[in-house]
Amino acid sequence: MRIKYWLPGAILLLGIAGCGNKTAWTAQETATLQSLSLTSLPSVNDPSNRFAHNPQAVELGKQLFFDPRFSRNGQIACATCHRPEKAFSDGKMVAEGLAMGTRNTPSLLGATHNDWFFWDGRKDSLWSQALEPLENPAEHGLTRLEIVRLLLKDLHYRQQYHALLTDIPAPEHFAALPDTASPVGTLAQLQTWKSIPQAQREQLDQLFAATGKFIAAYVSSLPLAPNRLDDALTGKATPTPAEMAGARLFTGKAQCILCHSGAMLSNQAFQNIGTGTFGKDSGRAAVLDTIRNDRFNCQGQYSDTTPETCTELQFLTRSRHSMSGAFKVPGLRNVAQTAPYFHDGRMATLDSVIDYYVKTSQQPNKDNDLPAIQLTDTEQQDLIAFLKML
Amino acid sequence: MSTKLLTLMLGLLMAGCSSSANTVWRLDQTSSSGRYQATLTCATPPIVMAFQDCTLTLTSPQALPSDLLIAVDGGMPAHGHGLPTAPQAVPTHNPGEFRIDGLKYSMLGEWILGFLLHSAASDDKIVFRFTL
Repeated sequence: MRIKYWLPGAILLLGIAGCGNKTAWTAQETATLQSLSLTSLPSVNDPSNRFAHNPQAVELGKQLFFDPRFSRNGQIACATCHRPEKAFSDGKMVAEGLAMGTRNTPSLLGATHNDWFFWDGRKDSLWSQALEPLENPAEHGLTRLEIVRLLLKDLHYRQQYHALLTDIPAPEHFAALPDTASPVGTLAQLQTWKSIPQAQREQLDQLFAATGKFIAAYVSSLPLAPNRLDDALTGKATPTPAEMAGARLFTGKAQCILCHSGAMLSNQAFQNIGTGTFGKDSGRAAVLDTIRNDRFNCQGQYSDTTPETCTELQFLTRSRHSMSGAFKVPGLRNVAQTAPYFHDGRMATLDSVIDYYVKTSQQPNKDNDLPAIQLTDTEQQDLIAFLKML
Repeated sequence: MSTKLLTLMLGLLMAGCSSSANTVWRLDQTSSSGRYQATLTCATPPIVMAFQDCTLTLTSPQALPSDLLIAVDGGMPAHGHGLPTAPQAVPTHNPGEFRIDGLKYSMLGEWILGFLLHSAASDDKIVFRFTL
């Protein structure tokens, strides 16, 4: 059905190109831009989450996403940093939960299409990603045991968990356990966790993993609205001369499309653009072992798929050297609504981002993956005009 | 205007821009020592952001070493980065044939794809160069 909507626009643009209008995109340019449109977006398939498309799980996940009780101070929900009115980001330099974080909050719109999660990609599924902030002392700051207790004691949640999981323990099942326990908490919390019988630890992990899957089901359901580029390619919007010129730069001279490709405008890879901090934050390189050993990864016992289907994890690079200073290439949909930019939010505006790329890429003896990028002031403004279409 | 007509019009307009419809992509290369002839065959021409379905076939006037191990590496020389994944060369049931699992490219441009051939008797390498 979608082909009916973009074809007229594409043909119109091609027709304009054939009339010798130098401001119109050529057929080849249009075809390239089409690769960035929603019509090129593949369907989502996460076999590690059997609840990904379950309407009950979506509804439950939404309740969990907005519930601030899942935090140490009762005031932090997923939605605290992933705010719907800001394309599910927060507009802050770095995330602020119970304490200041170290990474910029990414938009969740379209996140379900990612291969890897967090700026360093230390999680390989949306559901596994959703778990970590709950136990992060700087974000929600609860322990795994507290989270599961809260879920089981709340009648509304317990009924929904029971409906989806069919067999969940009664709240009394964990009554004899200490107040807090987590395998990723403080030393005391870790020691307490290890004192819990293995069968109960696995029950806790099972319920904890399911919580992530429900939240992921909700996040996966968030609609990705067409942007102005999608509209231009379907004939519903007319791009300005600056936007058209910016599109040519994006796909040509500025070389943005090398990394920001596909309908999500990300090649799902990790690149070094010179923003890593030596000795402090080496990005992807620091988490390669973490990913393999994560009990909630695609090949783990709480995944709903078979290990051989976890292709990204199976062929994860082992070269720390090659990944040093590399961060995930972010998708650029809604980029104008998700300032500030880069993994640590160091750039406040798109102007400063483009300026950074131009200057950094031309540095002698540069230690990053950037090709040389040369743009005039006018070209930089045209490129920004195009970015605002996204 | 029907969808069929629209599709036909677009197809005619795009005809001049599209490449030939290769279903098999193949490169041939001689190893550094000249000992091996290598053929890299893929089910499709290389594309970005998708795992490739490729096979490496080695032939040699001499028998292949029984302890031959193959390591896969590659990257974009112009950008200074490697492959986004860690592909593996897995022997098939056919002598001299290796299935390349986990091979992916992250962007358009010039790539090299290298195979290090290691055995107790000797080391050798094969390097393919191509542009996506």
